[in-house]
This record gives sequence, structure tokens and C-alpha cells, in this order.
Amino acid sequence: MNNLGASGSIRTACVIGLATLAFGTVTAADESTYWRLVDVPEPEGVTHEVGAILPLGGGRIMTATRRGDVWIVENAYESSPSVSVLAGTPEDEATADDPHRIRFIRYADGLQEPLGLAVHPDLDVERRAAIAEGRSWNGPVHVAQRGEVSRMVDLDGDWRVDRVETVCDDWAISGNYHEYTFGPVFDADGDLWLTLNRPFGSEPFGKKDWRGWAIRVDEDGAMHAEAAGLRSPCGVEMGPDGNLYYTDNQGEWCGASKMSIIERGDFHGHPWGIASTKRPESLVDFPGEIPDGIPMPEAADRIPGFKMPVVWFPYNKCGQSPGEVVWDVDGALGPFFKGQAFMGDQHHAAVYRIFTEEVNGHVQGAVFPFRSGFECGIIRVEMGEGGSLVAGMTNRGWGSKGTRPYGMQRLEWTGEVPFEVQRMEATPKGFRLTFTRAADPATASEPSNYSMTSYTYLLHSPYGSPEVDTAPVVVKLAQISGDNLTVDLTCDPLRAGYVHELRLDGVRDEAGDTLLHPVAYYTLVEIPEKSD
Amino acid sequence: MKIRSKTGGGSSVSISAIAIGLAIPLASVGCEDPDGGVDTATVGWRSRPAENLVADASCTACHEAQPDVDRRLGIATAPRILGDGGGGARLSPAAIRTRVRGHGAESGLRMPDLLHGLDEAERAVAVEELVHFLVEQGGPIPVDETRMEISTARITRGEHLWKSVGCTACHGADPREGVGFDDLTSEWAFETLARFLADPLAVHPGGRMPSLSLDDDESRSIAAFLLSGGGMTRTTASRPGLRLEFFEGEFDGVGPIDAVGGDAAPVRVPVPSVGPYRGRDNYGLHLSGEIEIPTSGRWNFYLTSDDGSGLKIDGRTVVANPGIHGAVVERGSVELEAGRHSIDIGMFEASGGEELSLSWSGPGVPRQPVPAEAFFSDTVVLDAGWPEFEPDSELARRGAERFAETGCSACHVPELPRIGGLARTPPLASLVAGRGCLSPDVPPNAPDYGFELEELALLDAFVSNAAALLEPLPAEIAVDHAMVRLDCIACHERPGVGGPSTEAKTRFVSNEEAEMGDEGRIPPPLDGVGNKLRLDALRSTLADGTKVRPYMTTRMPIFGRPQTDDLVANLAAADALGADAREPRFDAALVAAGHALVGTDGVSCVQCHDVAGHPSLGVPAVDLATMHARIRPGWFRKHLLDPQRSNPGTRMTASWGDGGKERILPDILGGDPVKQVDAIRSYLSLGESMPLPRGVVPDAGEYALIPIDEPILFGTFMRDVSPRTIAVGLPENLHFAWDAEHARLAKAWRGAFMDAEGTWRGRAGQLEAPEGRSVLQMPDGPAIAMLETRDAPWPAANARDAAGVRNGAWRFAGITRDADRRPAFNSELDGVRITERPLPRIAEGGTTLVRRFTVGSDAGRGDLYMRAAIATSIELAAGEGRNRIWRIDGERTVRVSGGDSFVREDPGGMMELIIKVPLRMVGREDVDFEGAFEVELAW
Repeated sequence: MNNLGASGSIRTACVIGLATLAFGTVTAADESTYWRLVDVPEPEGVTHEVGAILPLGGGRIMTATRRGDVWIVENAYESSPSVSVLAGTPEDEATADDPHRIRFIRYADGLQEPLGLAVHPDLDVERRAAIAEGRSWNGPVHVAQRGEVSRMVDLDGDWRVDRVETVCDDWAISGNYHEYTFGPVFDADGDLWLTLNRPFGSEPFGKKDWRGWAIRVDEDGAMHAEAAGLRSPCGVEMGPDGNLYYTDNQGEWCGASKMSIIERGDFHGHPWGIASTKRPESLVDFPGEIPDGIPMPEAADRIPGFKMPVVWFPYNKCGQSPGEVVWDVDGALGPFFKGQAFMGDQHHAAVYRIFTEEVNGHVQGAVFPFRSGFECGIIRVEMGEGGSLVAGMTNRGWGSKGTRPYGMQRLEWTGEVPFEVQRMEATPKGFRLTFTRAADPATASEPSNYSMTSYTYLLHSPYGSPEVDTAPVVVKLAQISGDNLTVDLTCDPLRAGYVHELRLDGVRDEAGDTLLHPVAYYTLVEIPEKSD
Repeated sequence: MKIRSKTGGGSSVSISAIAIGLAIPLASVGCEDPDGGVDTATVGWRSRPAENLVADASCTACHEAQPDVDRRLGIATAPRILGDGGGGARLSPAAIRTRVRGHGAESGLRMPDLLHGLDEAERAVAVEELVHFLVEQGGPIPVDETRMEISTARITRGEHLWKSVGCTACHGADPREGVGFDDLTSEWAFETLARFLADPLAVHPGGRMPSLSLDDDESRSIAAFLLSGGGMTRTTASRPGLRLEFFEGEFDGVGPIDAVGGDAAPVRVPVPSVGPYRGRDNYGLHLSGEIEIPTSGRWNFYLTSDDGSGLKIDGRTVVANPGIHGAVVERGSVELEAGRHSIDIGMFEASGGEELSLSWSGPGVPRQPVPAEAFFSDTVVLDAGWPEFEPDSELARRGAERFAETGCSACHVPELPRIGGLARTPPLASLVAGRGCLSPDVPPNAPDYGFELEELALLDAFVSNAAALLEPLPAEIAVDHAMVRLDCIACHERPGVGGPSTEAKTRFVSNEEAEMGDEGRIPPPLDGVGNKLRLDALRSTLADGTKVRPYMTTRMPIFGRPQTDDLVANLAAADALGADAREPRFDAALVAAGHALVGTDGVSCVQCHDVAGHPSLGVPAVDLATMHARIRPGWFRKHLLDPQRSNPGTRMTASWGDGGKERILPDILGGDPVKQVDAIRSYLSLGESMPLPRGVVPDAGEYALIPIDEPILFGTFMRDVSPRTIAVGLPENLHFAWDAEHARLAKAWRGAFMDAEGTWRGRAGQLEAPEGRSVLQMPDGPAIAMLETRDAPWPAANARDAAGVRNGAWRFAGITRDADRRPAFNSELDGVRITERPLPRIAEGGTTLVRRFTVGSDAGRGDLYMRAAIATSIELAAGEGRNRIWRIDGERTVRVSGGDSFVREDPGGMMELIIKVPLRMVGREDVDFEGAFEVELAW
């Protein structure tokens, strides 16, 4: 299956959807106690297949859609919208005095599949200041199109674009639908990063280079081919740690969906674009013939430049089609999750939480279910005003759970503190768990309330990899801290290059309740060395 | 034999009624004038039946006549029977034998017997030699091709077409009666008949059998119907399920829904599915057979597929589910009678998962998968049972000689030199009544046509007055002759000529959905048609079969140019009034008034008339966008003001009462009816670029893009342009496509803008094309180039390599939007910046495109040129210096303002219209040198 931000055939998707519906509904009801969903409805006649989100402050959000429109959504954070209107229509005039209405202005049109919006760091300071002060910012915005990255400017402040300037179009496209361009994101130097999806099927205008690559565009608009081996890199985001992260979708040569860090010279495993490494412009060395059917840890040993992920998203357990990732640096979704990352999944119409840490120089971490029950598959997430996580949704071409074909929803923390695994850190002997609030020491220190298995994936040409080399991990010891917030697990064996899947169904809080999500998936690429 | 008389005045007139045709000064009969001089008594002689009989018999093929005489008679070329696609490739040996024996009346043709002078034995030998020779012309048809398997649904469909498209007007209601033909099954094989029906003019350039514009499916269906009713051996096999054909390769749209053959042996599936092909990539499927509808009524079909698919029932598209996507269901509905209907399903798979299924709902049937019991692929096996025929090359060689000697070639291959007796046939002007072919007892050396006595009387009169034929006929008489000769009157009435009989009129089928009364059923009368239609419209109707009445099921046939050029000229000469050619003076205010009048706030033409492809509010009367190009201004004025006078009985509304004198809508042009009609005319002159009148609800498919208030920009992959195309639709209904990959304007068109389905539906990625018809292609390559000399060749296409490296090619620099949201396009190369602003200009004959260029440069330079056109011919039409109008290929114009323009020849021999880009020092802060010029394209 080929995808924008999705994986898994539609057929499989439907079956799984039905099978998990009952379970999912129950979970959603629990989750909704802590995080509520609010719709941002679009007016009739607007196909709001959101491919990019940029909060502008003052209640305004800029969105870009797969149909090529850029919208200004006014009063986007209204908690109970009365109506949604399109600017310039009779409905717009008729509802001008309604403070609860949402209003859409067509900022730009005619773009080709714009899937990302970004603001230059020098100006982003102004944008953030404006948001903080409750006013709107209307400055130049960079947008990725299939064949170029462009800069949009509204010169007269009427929220309608006056110039769309081509910043860089140094890569060519073949006319294949799957050649999406994701990004752009700015790095600290003001350079732009983009990821280029690989084609599936006919390439009517001829096969092109740099597909399955991450590219950088410098301040002069020149392209640099930085990293190769990407498959369907739907999400690309600059982390607060200054690393460039991207998500990739399970499929051929991508055994499991994942989040990885992109650095110059990386090879991420997919051989589609490796012929381009022989071009003089390439900053990636030719990785050689890619062996078909070896476990990931072996691939990391054998293939030059092969990049191991930060986390794998085990198929169906943690979504099926990762979209964008956003960091909640302010702890808006709950101070206990401050600094953690949140990934919107296209197929599951759900958001997953990612805790990361650096071990032996490698960033790795754990994935947790967070909030399901969105109305449609999510490909974009962004932190908006007032602590909202804004989700941009579409399931065109790739089915998803949920009842709508597209739209935008916001997620807000209700203020209640859930009982969750806040952090899962690797230790030389096992893992250290930190809870969001105190656990019941009796259940939390009982090793039999924890069960763990570990498995890895194959790097191979078939579509997706099963979990391979699965083995039980024995939790020998669970030592709880004096404040009942932290548990140190001693686990055997620990295997580097393996997902360690932990279930904690028996662990209770002081009131005897179970964890909201009694499961965690830690991708153990590096095992910490003994420090004592 | 059954042959319709072409000598009579109307379809109901028999040969015995020829007296009418002889009502002209009769000449002195039988007086041979060896000098061929004009007998004064013959001046003005004419006879429609006699002249048409001579045309039918092709007398002038042997008896030479002056070109003017041929022209007056309308002598048509005989069928092509030699060469690869010759008689042998079409007809059975038996059919050829019948024709060679002559008295072709048996086969509905007027073939003379050229061998009747031979004794019985020699005649038999001669016939066989000729048959062997002619069968070799593309034949013989292999015996296995005379045996065919046809679905019963196709036969039913053929019958429906036979009754509705116009076949019955000439051939009668029942093909078994065989008006105009005999036993088809002994003469034609299925494929050869289907090919003939699809393009009869290829065989009969003379238009004896005109083309009804049948597509392959239609011609095959009619052939199936005609052949299934005859003497073939039939075996019917009823088999459940559908036939599935597999095709390897990349497909788009709905897959190979019309393809036959396939890359593997066909298989049978019980219900629509991908059959044994699950798991493969890059293939297409065609499923075909019949579907049995249990109850008459409206049926919904739900077609689910991954990737694209389509469903046709009875050859009509019911569901389209095109493009690359996951399992997506699309619905379509259709009114169906109970019983079997033909069904075709196309489907394709690119890569990944695949899916194909069909559900239905209908009267009393809730939505559910169509059960296997509903599918059949019933077939009828038809076997012509033709005897095996092996052409003998020696016989054929002798046949070839005989072909030339006997005189066959005189009609069939007129360019061959005449030998033998043929070289000595007397010219037409010196023929003698009652002699030779015209003798009741034809001598051995003359062809025997088997003329009836009445016909001989006509021909005697004809040859006696041959000298009179040098005079051209008066136009109105020539029209009469031609309309009878071509059998126009089988469908159309014209006073003084005739028209379809009352019985024949019952055979025209109405399109019930159209609800247009007899105007929607019976082809229009041709009373004064030369006054009504412009010359071009008459010509394209007659020669090309241009159709403007989509509600008519009967089709206007295509007769081809040779048969109709004179008829067109004569219709115009007979009917047209000079004063009626005057167009109202065009101005924008008049256009605006016309726009208001046509809409629902005015006289509301849109109640009944379609508008540039968008449906009217009621019946689907002729599209307003075609009016100006078709209808002459005088008739238009008369018709709008008093429709009953120009077309008695019409359902056209008389908006201005009192015979066109009533003053209505005083706010528009002071209520002056004539001015108001002229305003409508001016508005209609915009053709497809008319802005939509008030009241019209655009025919918006879910993805149709219709610019109404402001321009629409649409980024897409465009066929023949690039995967980075920005299509721009303007409310003025003038649209264009900018190729961002090559930084150039690629196309401009009027009418409908774009349909975005291929870009916005499912995974999309289809190559799009303009929806409008009048697409103007800009020259390939960059619009502006740097040339070392003004003669240097234009640089080739602005292409990049696969890695995106641009070698000296213009780079698209982005878009600027103006206050009306119209875009201007910027591009740059080596310090030169171009802004091209495409703008609409309202003009008579259709809105034109103005390409306004601004060129800026850091340095003064004289090497910048713009190429405005490439064509076979470019001529200066008007103007001088920096303002010139050029005529391109005689059919469109380019007006250049603000720059010197000149024409030069490119290395390929084509003409190029080049403009020297004017640059002058401006010394502004943003630019040092700048130039501006304009290129207006009218097409």
C-alpha cells in the first residue's frame, strides 16, 4: 500500500476497524475525561482536507489543503461555534455580528498539494509574540508544493495573498500522485528542510532524482540533497532539542512505521532513491546493494550510513500511518507531559505520545497511546492558542477510522490528571517508569503485575514486516520509590535494536484504578552503560 | 428487389409519376447533331428525374461530358473496389458475383450488365475471372471470420440503434424487407459490415450511403442486429457470469472498459471481481456480458473499486469511479426496462491492494450485492456458411484484363486509361435516343442497365436535350435536384421538393427525456435554410454532420464535401437575402444588455436553451453558444421578433408580442425590440466565452471548476504541458494554463474551464486537460529568448534533467495577484525578469487573450525576442511599426502593440512571428532597463 500518511490496505483497515471499535469506544470515553475534543467546522463548499496548520494568533489559524487552497480560519478556538461561514458570501454578511461564528477567508488557491507551512525563524519570533499578546500576525509564510517551496505574502493585509514567490524548485517531479513534498521546516540557521515522497506507478513525465530524500534549501534558494532511504515521510518537524525528526510509513523496505532523526549522509533503509547518491550533488554515499530480509540490528551493522529510529510505532498497536509530530513544550496538554512529543496517526484517527531521551548519543524512547476518537485520520498536529492541540484531518485515498472525510478538531486538557506512565527511561538493568501521580505501592512493586516481550523487524522488500524474533522478557524486580511515583524494573534479557513492549494491567493508583493506558512500547536501540 | 426511387419527387412518389419531372420544354427527340452544337429548342430544358437517373447510372463515366455538366448532374464517384481495402475485403465472393453479373438492382445498386453480349459459356468464364480478380482485392475473407459469437444484448442494442439513429429513414422500418439491400448474411461478414457502417464514405466517397457517425460499439451492434435476422445458422448459448479479459500494463481513468482481446485467455466470473488476478500490479480488466433487470424502473448501481473502475449499461456510462484510490464506492443511477441489458465494467490496478464489486438497489430491492443470478454472458453464434473460396491467380490475372477491357474501370477506377471499346464511346452530347444502352434491346457492345420503359423515356428526353446541360441550373432548382438525389427529403421537408411521408414521420423516434414535441423528433424543415444558416454552418452540417440538437436521436448524416459543396452554395444563393448579412455594431454596453436579456431577469432564453454546455432550466433546446456562429443576423432578428413567421409551429416563445413590436423591459435599451434583439446577438457573439446569464445553474459535476465571481487557480498535472501546471479560469470564460516547470504560457481556451476530478478525487494524480473546445496551443519552448542575431534559431524546449538541473532555462519565479485576483506570472534568467499578465478582452466572435509583458533587466540589451506564433502562414493584415495585426494560417489573428514584429522562417520551414522586446533605460530603484508590449490573440 502506498501512502500519503497511511499504511495498511483499506481492506485490512476495515476489518481492524470493526474488531477494535468496541474497545476503542470505551477507551475514548475514559480519555475524554482528561482531553476533550472540539470541532472547528468548515463552511459548506469548503473541502477542508487539512495538509498544514499554522497558528497566527488572535484566534486565527492558517491552513493549507490538499486541494491547493490556503485558508485563514477566524475565531478558530471558539468553544461552541454557532455557524461557519465563507468570507464574501451572503451568509458572511448576514452573520457579521455573531461573535460565535467561525469564518474562512480564501488566502490563496491553485497551489499543488501544499502539505506544510513554515515561518522563517527571524519572523517566527514576531509570530510567537503576537500569539502571546492575543493579536494576529500576518507576515510571509513559506509553503511546500509538489514542485517547489514558495513564500506567500499578503502585502495589503486583507488576508488574501498578493505574491507567491518561488523560493526553490531545484528538484523535478514526474507527474506521479505519490510524489508528495513534506515540510518545510526551518532549522536554526534559517535553512529549509523538506522530505520528498517516492512515486508509486506511472511517472508520465519521466523518472526523477531525489525521491525518498530529505533535502535542505539554503538562504540563497539552492537545494542540497542531505539524506536518502525515506519511504513515505509524511511528518517532518524540528524538535526542541534542535534535531530534525521525521515520521515514515510502514511498507516495502520500511518494516514498521517509525520516527527518526535526519542528519546529513543518513540512509534510512529504502533503496528507491539510492541511484541519486551517484549524482555529484548527493551528500549521501552510495550504501551498496541493500540485503533483502535481515533484522534491523543487523542492517544497522552492515549497511553504511543506516539510521536506526528514535521509536518504532508497532503496527496497529500504535497507529498504522504516522503523520506529523508536535512537541508540547509548554505542557499545555498537562504539565506532566511537558516537553513530550505527540504524533497524529492518519489511519487510527488518534494521537500517540512519545517520550524521548538520549542514550549513548542516540535519541530513543517510548510510545504510548494518548487520545483516540477523532472524526477522521490525522496527518497534521500543531499546538495552538490556549493550550489546544490542533489536528488537521483527511482520509482521501487512504481510509481511516472516524466518521468524516476531512476537517479540523482541537484537543484541550480538561485539567484532570490521569493516571499514566509519564516517562519510561532505559536503565542498564531495565527501565525506570515514572507515573503522573502516585501509584499503589503494593501493586506497583509486584513484578508479576508487569509483563514484557521484545521483538524487532526485518528490513526487506515485502510490504511491512511482522514482529520477528519475539521473546518474553522477565521482569525480575519492581522497586518503587518512596513517593510512589517511580518504579525501577529489572528486566532480562535486554536486547539492543528491539522494541520492548510493556503491559502494566495490574498496576493501580491509590484509589485502586488502573492506568488510563496500561501499555508502553520502548524502542531500545542503545542500552545505557552501568554508571555505578 | 426493393429500391427506393431517386427519380421521384418524394419518397411517396413512384416512378410512374415521372410526368411532373417532364414538365419542361421538350426538345426534338432523336435528332443526332454530329457537331454537338446547341439546338436552340433545348435551351432551358431540365428534368429532375432524368438528370438524377443519369447521375445514378453514372452515364458520364463512359460518355464524356464537360465538367460543368458533371457538376450539374452531381455525378458521384463509384465505390472503391481495388486495393487492400477493396471489394474482396468487404464482400463475400457470392456478393461480388452478383454485382459482376450486373442488373445490380438485385443488390440495390444500379450496376449495368457488361457481359450480356457474351454467349452463356464465355459469360460464365468471364464472371468467374472477374470474381477471382476482385476477391483478391483485399480478400478473401477467412471462413472463420464469417462465424461469430455475439452477445444477445448487443443484438438488442443494435435494434434500438437501427430504429433511432436514422437508418429507417432510407431503409424502412424492417430490415428483413431490405429496402436498399438484399440478403446481407450472404454478402457481409460481421466485422466487414461493422467497418463499413462505421465509415461508409471510405467505400462510397460519393456519399451514396452517408455516415451516421457511429462509433465502433454502435456499428458493431447494428451489424450484429442486421446479420442476426438473416439466414445464418444460429446457436444460442446461455452461460451464467461475466466474461473477464485481462490486460497487462499501466492504465488510468476507468481502465480498459472498451478493450477487447486481452493478454490472457478470457475467464468467466460469477459476479464482478478481479477473478484470478488478485495480488498482481499494473493491469486492467474488462468484464462484459448481460445483466438481467427484474423490474422496470430506476436502478442505482454502487461500484466499489481499488483502483479505478467504470460501469456501462447498454453502452452508456452509468458509474465512473476513476483514478488511483483505495476501495472507494461510487453510485450511478439509470432508468432500465425489465430484461437483459448489456453490461461492461472496466477496472485497473496500479499497485498495492485491489478490489472490485458491484451492488444495486431498485424497485423493491434494497441495496445489496448484485446476485450471480443476474449475470449472463449469453451469446449467439452466427455462421454465414459461406463456401470456401480460393482465388486462382491465373483466373485473377485474366480477370484484371477483363476489368479494364469490359469497362468496369470507367466507373470504379476512372483514372485508368480507357482501352478497347471504351475508348470509342461517344461523348454525352452526341448520344442518340433509343440507341446503345438506351435501346430497348441493348446491343452486345453496350452495357445493359435493365432500364424500365419509363426510364428509357426519361433518358431519351435527356440525350435529346444534352446541349441544355451546359447551362447551370438556377440555384433553387439545383437544390431540388440535389435534395432528391441525396435523399435529403427522406428526413427533411422543403417546399416544392417533398419530405418524409406521414408514415415515414412516425418512424422518427423521440427522446422522451427531452420533451421537445415533434421539433425534438422530426428533423427540421429546410424551408429558407440558406437564409437562416451561415455558409460555414451549412457546410459543416452537410459535409461533417455537425450536430447542434443533442435531443434528437436521429442523426444528421455526413455526406462529405464532394457531394455537398454545390448544394451549400446553391442553398445560400437560393435563400439568402443580402441585407440579412449585416451584423449589429459590436460594443461592450450592448453585450451587457444582451447578457441581462438572455437571463431570467430578461426574456429568459435560458428557460429552454442550453448555455455553453450548461443545461437550460427546462427543455434542452439548441445551445446559445452555437447561435452566433450558425445563424445569419437577419434571420436571427426575424426569428426572435416573430418566431411563428420564420418557423411556423415552433415552440420558440414570441417574447415580443404583436409580431415583434411590443415594447417590453423598458429599462433595457429603452424597450426597443430591435435594439434588444441586436444586444442579444452581440452577447451571443462571445460564443463559448459568454459569461453565464442569470438563472443558469452550472452543470457542476462534483469537481467542475466554474469561475463566476473571481478567477480560479488550479494547480495540476496537465497532459502535454507539465506536472507543474497552474490552470487559471476567468469569469469572462477565457482560461489559460501556465506551465511553471518551463515558465511559459502553454494553452488558452474558452468555454468550460476544468474538471478537477482527476486531481481531487481519491489518490488523484491523473493528467488533466482543458474542458473547453477551442483550445489554442502556444508555441513550444520559451516565450522570450536571448538571440545573438535576429536570425538565430529559437532555443529548444526549456527542459531540465532528472535531477532538476536547469541549464540556461528560464526559471519560474512566482505569481503576483492584481486587485481582481488575476495572476501575473514572473520568470527570470541571467538578470532578466519577465512578468506576463494574461488578460481577457471582450470581443465579437469570442473573448480574446491579451498577453501583457513587462521585461526588466539590469543591463541594456538588444538580444531579447518574443515568439508569438508558429504557423504555416503568417501575413500582415493591418498596422505598421510597433502596432501590427498578423493573420495566422488564415484563421486567427495576433495583434502586437508596443514592439516591432516580423516574420521569419524556422529551420523546419514553419513561419515564426517574432517580436523584438523593447527595452529602455528607466533607472528606477528596482530596475534599470524596462520594456512593455502586448500580444493579443484572437481565435
